Amino acid sequence: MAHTWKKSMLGRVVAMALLSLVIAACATTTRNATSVVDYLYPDSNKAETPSVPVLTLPLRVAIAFTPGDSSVSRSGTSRAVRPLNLRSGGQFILTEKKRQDLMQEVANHFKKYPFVKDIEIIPSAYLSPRGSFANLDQIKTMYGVSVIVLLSYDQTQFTDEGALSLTYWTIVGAYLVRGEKNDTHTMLDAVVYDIPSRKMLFRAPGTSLVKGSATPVNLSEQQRADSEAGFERAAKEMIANLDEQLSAFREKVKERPTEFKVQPSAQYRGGGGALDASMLALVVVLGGGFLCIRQRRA
Amino acid sequence: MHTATPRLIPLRIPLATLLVCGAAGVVFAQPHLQALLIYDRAAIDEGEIWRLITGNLVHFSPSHFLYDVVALFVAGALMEIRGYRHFAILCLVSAAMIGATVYVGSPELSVFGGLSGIVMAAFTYACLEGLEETGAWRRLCWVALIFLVIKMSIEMALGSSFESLAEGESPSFVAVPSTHVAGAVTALILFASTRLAGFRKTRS
Repeated sequence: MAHTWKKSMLGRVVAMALLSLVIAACATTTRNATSVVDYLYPDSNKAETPSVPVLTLPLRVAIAFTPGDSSVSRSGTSRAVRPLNLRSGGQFILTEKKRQDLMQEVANHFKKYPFVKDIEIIPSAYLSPRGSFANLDQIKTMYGVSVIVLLSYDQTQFTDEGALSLTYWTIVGAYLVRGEKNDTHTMLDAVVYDIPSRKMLFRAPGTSLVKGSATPVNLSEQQRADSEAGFERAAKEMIANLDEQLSAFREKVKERPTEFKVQPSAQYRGGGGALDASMLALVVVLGGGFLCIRQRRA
Repeated sequence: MHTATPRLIPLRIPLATLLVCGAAGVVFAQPHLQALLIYDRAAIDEGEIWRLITGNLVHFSPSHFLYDVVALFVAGALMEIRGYRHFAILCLVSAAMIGATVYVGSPELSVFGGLSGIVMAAFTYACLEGLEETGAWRRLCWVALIFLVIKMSIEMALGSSFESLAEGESPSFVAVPSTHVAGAVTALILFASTRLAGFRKTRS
């Protein structure tokens, strides 16, 4: 009798352990993304033909976040079967305030260029999803800008549970053990368009990967922090890439004057105290000469 | 028999040069600072007169920055290592002169930036000091000064730099040769005034 009772207990423990393993192995994926292509070309049958852009200097530039169709997708095991249903899955924190801060950061970076006169930050409410170039024309009229920097993002958060999540069954473990592993992949993309000609001038992406861990109790909070950190890191990379791409674009404008036309306005001229290669060579020769003479004297 | 091994006099650390180059580097890396310091005619008209001087520290592209800073490092280090005095004063006065020259002489320029005028000032001053020395260094300074005068004359006559003439100028960004002349003239004035002061001292 006692033997049968023991056997049945053992069976229950094994079953519980297996169940907890299955539950503990669950994973969720949360993806948030907006797409410039969806915004500018919502109708795949209708193609906009770009013309030759005429960039009038100094430029008046707008920066805006591409509106999305709230393309948030989640996948993974239902949380209802978990021992403690404490979490709500991925938390997305790119609020309007964050967007404004991010756009301001990009704007500050562009202000240094002499050919940029004004940078307008466009609130998200002014861009309508799938608004296409008709929407951009409205922005152009409202703000008097000719070039727009469209920012889009794609952030995916993966949450997996490690072996430590078994401790959640003790209740205390759910509060103390960081058994939730989060990976946050972020891509920010800046696409620069000349609105009148519908021509894309250049683009610059920035990516980041943030790895973190959390207890089920503070999972949402940690995911928000990871999401924020992901955007910050991606923004830094994107701004660095913007500089590079802008330099490359300036070279392209010089090399292909038929594809891009640049004309300064009557009031605008930017000047630089710049040295050419001959002057640099002269300075270096004088410096080299000094070192040679010094060596010989010694 | 004892043979003396040639010994090099230890080089001085060109502190002022490093300071100016470092400042230009910091400004180049910080867009906020660039916006605050750039020569912006409209902002100067509104009373932000520091931009006349600080505009020299702002650069518009990596190559613009690299050319100017490398040249200033060589010219400034040369001055300081050879013991020519007044490098810091030269930088300050030539920066002010360059800003004033752009403001008065080029009202069509909305913005301006670059250290090249100060490089010209340091280079000219080093060469002028070199003329008072002897041997190969003096000859080298003569040749450099002659080349400099020819180059600046051509640039002023044509209103552009050598490189721009060869490659074609960007419509958005023009080289301003008058700033180079302003730098060289500042060096000349400073050199003459120090010599004059020295002469008066000797006489008294």
